Amino acid sequence: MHVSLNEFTPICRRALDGLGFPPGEFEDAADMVVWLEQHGLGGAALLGEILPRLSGERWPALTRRYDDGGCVVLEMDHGSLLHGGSLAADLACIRALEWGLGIVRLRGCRDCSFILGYLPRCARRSHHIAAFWCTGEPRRAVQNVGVALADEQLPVFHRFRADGGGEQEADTDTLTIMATRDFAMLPAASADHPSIERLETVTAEEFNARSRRAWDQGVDIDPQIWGELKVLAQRKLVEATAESRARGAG
Amino acid sequence: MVSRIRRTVSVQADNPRPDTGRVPLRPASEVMDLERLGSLHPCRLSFIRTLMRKVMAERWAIQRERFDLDDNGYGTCIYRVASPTRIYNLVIFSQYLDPDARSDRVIANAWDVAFALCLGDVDDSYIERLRENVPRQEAGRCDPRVMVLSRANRSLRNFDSTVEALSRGHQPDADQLARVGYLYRTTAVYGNGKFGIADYPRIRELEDFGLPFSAQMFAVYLLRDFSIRQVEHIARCRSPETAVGLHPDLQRYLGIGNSTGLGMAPFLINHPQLINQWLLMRESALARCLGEVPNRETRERMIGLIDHAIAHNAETFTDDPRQSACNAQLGAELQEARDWLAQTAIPEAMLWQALLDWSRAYCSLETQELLNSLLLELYPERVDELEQSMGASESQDLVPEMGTDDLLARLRRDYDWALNYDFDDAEQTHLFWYRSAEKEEPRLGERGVDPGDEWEMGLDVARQTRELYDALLDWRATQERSTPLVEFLLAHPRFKGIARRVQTLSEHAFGDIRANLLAQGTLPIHLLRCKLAFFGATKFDPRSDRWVRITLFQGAPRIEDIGQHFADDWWMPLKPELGGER
Repeated sequence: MHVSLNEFTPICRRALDGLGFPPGEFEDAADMVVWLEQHGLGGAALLGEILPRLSGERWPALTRRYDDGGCVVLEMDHGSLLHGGSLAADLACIRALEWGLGIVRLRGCRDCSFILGYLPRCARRSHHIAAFWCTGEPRRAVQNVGVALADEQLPVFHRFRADGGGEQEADTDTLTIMATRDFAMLPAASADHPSIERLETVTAEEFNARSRRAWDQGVDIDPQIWGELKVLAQRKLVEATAESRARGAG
Repeated sequence: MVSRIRRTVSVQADNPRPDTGRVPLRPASEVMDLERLGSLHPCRLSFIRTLMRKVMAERWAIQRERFDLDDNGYGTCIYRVASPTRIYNLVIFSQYLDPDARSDRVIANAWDVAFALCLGDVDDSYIERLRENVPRQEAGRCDPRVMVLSRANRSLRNFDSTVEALSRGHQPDADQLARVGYLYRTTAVYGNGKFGIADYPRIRELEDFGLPFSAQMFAVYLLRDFSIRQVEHIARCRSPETAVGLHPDLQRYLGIGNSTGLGMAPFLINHPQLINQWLLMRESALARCLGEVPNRETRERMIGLIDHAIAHNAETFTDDPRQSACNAQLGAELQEARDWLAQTAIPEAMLWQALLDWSRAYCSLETQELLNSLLLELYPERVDELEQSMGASESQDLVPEMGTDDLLARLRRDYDWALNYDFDDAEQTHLFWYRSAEKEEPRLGERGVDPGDEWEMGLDVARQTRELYDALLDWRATQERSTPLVEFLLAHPRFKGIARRVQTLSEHAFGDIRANLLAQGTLPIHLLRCKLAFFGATKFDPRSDRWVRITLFQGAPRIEDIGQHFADDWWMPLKPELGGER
């Protein structure tokens, strides 16, 4: 189904509102989904996959396990990043202001890639911010890194293997967020390092091109996912009665 | 000699704050009062005024490329538009509508005409795609070449009688036209990505329609011409021997109607930075004009404008008792204002400020705000440039590092109006806003009477603000210190939305309407009128306290007038005197 971004955004917001996300959070979570879709990273499909699970998760989803000021460990109990991941990134930013470097580790965190959609908002507030997480095949870790530099509109996204060809236990349910204002965060390893197999890099320029295309031409959403979002969005619709219809005409 | 075309490129800047000179802006406590917002009138910065200035200055070429209508006016019409940079086409489908299906409410499913403003030229196959979808409106799907999608109904009061008069060789009764002011009335004018059409950022980059709602207003402007050509066509088909065309003065006097209900209300709450920008520009324009020193000529001109407004108001009809009373009071007070201005001995350097002060002391809000709009007419060189700043960047980013004590201080400083409500008083939560299953449109219910208050919409800014304030006080007590806001939100995520709003809007004084929209007696129509005034609507005709009919483009130049002298003085038209031309 071909839709405009301005159609997709409200349907996501209302669906997540219907799922019980709090005000402010349902907008931010929906915006992360839309960001991924707008920038060619399949936000709608990812959301479609996790919708059944989201309805069973609880709020608030974050429990603090460790906090020494500059480093915080939060437990998500295998919850979705959409449940409070934006606040975790904000927490990294304020710890960076106080300690120079803010690190927040989200343990038991699923759907980590949605964080890419929030990094530019942190960068807009003059933070350099990076997020790291693992995905991929069992025992062949694929490292994902998103980096947004302060005051830049768009991040850079890398996927690579850095296991030197051997097997490595992948921790696929932890997201690490690092923020600072002191120096520009760039990917630590260069592309030609022998231990790195670069799988994909999406530059800010490429993200920008994808975004422009989406604004110009709209995006294609699986009709089934669209239908599921509509059903969730309708949870907060109210049936009229004869009396309310008479009183509440608009 | 052909004079050089003046290009007025319309692109948005992000939230500019213009210099206003020596006169300070009115305080937000005054400007953002709900009843005052509900008393606003159009002004030079209203979107249809801006649009007409641009179209006339740039001499847009508008042609009826196709006019395939049958004897009853049903068929297809296409307007081709050439701006200095682009080609657009407005495709109109006119179809038979069963009288039983006729409705001026947004919940209708069929209309007399449906139309789409498209980017670029349209070929036959594309027109057929539009034909399959445009008449279905919300039930259809369009593509990003469509910029605006809308529909309209004939005015029962004017359409047939106008056809009848023209077919018999007469001009229609100007008195009757004056009571309504249009032949067609729209119910929704969709833009911004609705139903698959172009997203606003795509339109925003166009030099022609970069300003808010300008593409929507332009589509309505073209419909106005269609409405005139259609009645003339039907009259000619009905009586080829006797039919006459509509007198040009009557053509200019006709506008396009619009019915607007509660669907518009959430816009004003959900786009606070845009609303702030509109009001900031209007207030900036007012401050600039108040700072000007009048001379004999400008004083006489103001008196002339008041005279004109008195006459225009006398031709404004409504069946609504409250609005009738407002109009009557407006007429009387404008006369008093005229007399005051003609007789006052106040030195000229202080005259405009004195007029404002006098109106504050002695006049209704309607009169105060109309006088303000008239004042803006005197100094176009100080006002018109502000039209380029009516757009806004709309993003509300959390400031997670802000201390909770700082946020409390902002609440006390900028949201004292909200903290003054007592939400333990049932009257303050008497109403609730919800979205109807019937059309997914916003509705207003009575708490404890109507179903659905557990699903109420978040338009309760005042109540949410109060709850945030109380929660922050509790947090302060338990933490025994101020903390970064994000720590509070990790514990209380449900306050994220309102906290972010307060942080953002405490920097934008005209963003939040200062009223508890849940209170018993709240008149939603005030919200509607505020937005409609910025569109440029006149002839406010409330049909209840929840929906209103208005007129757009009444008095505007016709497309045949483009390229002719343009005085930009059309916005308060008076009924034309045709003499013996009936």
